[in-house]
Amino acid sequence: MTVLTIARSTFREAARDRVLYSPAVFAVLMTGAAILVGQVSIGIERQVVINLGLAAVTFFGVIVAILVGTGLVAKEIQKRTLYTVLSRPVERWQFVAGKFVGLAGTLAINGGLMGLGLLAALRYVSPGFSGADAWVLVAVYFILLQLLMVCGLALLFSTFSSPLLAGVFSFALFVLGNFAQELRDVAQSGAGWVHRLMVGATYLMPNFSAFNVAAGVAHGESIASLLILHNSIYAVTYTGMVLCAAVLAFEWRELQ
Amino acid sequence: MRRGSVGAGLLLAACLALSVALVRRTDEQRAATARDEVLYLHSPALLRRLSLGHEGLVADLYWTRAVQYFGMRHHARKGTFPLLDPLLEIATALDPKLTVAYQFGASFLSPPPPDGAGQPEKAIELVEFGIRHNPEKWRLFYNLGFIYYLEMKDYARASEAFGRGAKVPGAHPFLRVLAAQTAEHAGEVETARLLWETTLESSTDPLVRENARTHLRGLQ
Repeated sequence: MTVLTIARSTFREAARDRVLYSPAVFAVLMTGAAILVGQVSIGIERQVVINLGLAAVTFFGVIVAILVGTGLVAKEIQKRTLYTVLSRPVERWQFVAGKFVGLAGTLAINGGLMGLGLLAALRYVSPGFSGADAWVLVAVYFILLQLLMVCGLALLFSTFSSPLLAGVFSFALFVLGNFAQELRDVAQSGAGWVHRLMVGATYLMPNFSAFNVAAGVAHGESIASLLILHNSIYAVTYTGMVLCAAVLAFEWRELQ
Repeated sequence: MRRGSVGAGLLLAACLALSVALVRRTDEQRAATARDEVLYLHSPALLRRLSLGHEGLVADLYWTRAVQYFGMRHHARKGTFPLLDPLLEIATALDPKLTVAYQFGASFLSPPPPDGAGQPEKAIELVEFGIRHNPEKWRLFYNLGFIYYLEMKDYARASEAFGRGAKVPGAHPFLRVLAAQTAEHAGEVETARLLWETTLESSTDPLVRENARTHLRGLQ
């Protein structure tokens, strides 16, 4: 109950920050792109709407996850509201979990609205829905899973560093997560303890390689159900690990 | 409305107008080549990494740039298209399923100048790359045979390409006819007419259909 109360308050705070306006910007961008590309290119209206739409969902989502996520704890300390909350029968883990659920809910609603906007833009360039459109929604789901992990990382860093540093760390890990496969290949080529250290480090960073399916779904390719299951379990496991680290860091933190 | 707001609004409009005028003036003074004909990043591998998992979008941008580049130089009757092949190579390396880039890209590359880049061998490389990644697309075999027949005058290879395409499930029945026709009646006007009629009949794209009609009129 306490977790849900904190989650609701976090969601309301994000809404007050006008975070939910980003789907409106997204809708304008998508409609504009669909019209423009029809004028300046040949034969790729549908692909552009899907590719641009999925890139925009990622871009807006990462911005929201990092900007809001990194300020979650710092803002509470700065405004001294954290002390009021923790003086009540609220455990620190409940505070961290509530903050995460609130932000994850904001991101899910944001991403869901943008997914619907993407479908509307697709409807504009190719009348009628096809089975391939369902894979676009799966691609949006994969992006939401990535955002959950980024959100967890932002929250983890916000428990022990300033919002600016937490933002830099989170964004760096988002970028590195897209290179995780290459980094692991490089790490595998080493030897001795350096090799073990490097391989271990690559497992600590998120691996987004399997989540990037935009190019395939833009051509109507299907996504294997095993990949959907694997990515879902990986995202939940990784986010759980990061949240546990965030709880530990917050438990150990001296609050004065 | 307050006087301060009116003043700020007027000043904003004046500054905007001035900045637009200055940018337009600068654009006029810059050489057109400086804007359109520079390819800063040549490596598809690097672009793939920079795209952070959205290589499909980058491929779309490069394909659009190839279309714009070809269209502008073709319209200006420049006769040379040095960046066309690299642009198409990057677009297709980033998204090998972008079949439109093979079909139209080959028709930009293969015809002799000023209608095209006069690089039929590059067009063949491009389409062969497309076939390797999309062996189920019969139209790519048709495009390949078309280039061999009309641009390279290599009728044996044209017939072979049409024959390969005819074996693809769901291929247009005309491919089998074209394979036989190009083998037996190579270089005849009737064969060329059949090629263009097949293009006109099998394509839904208005640009391709208009091009086919123009060539059919030329053969009459």
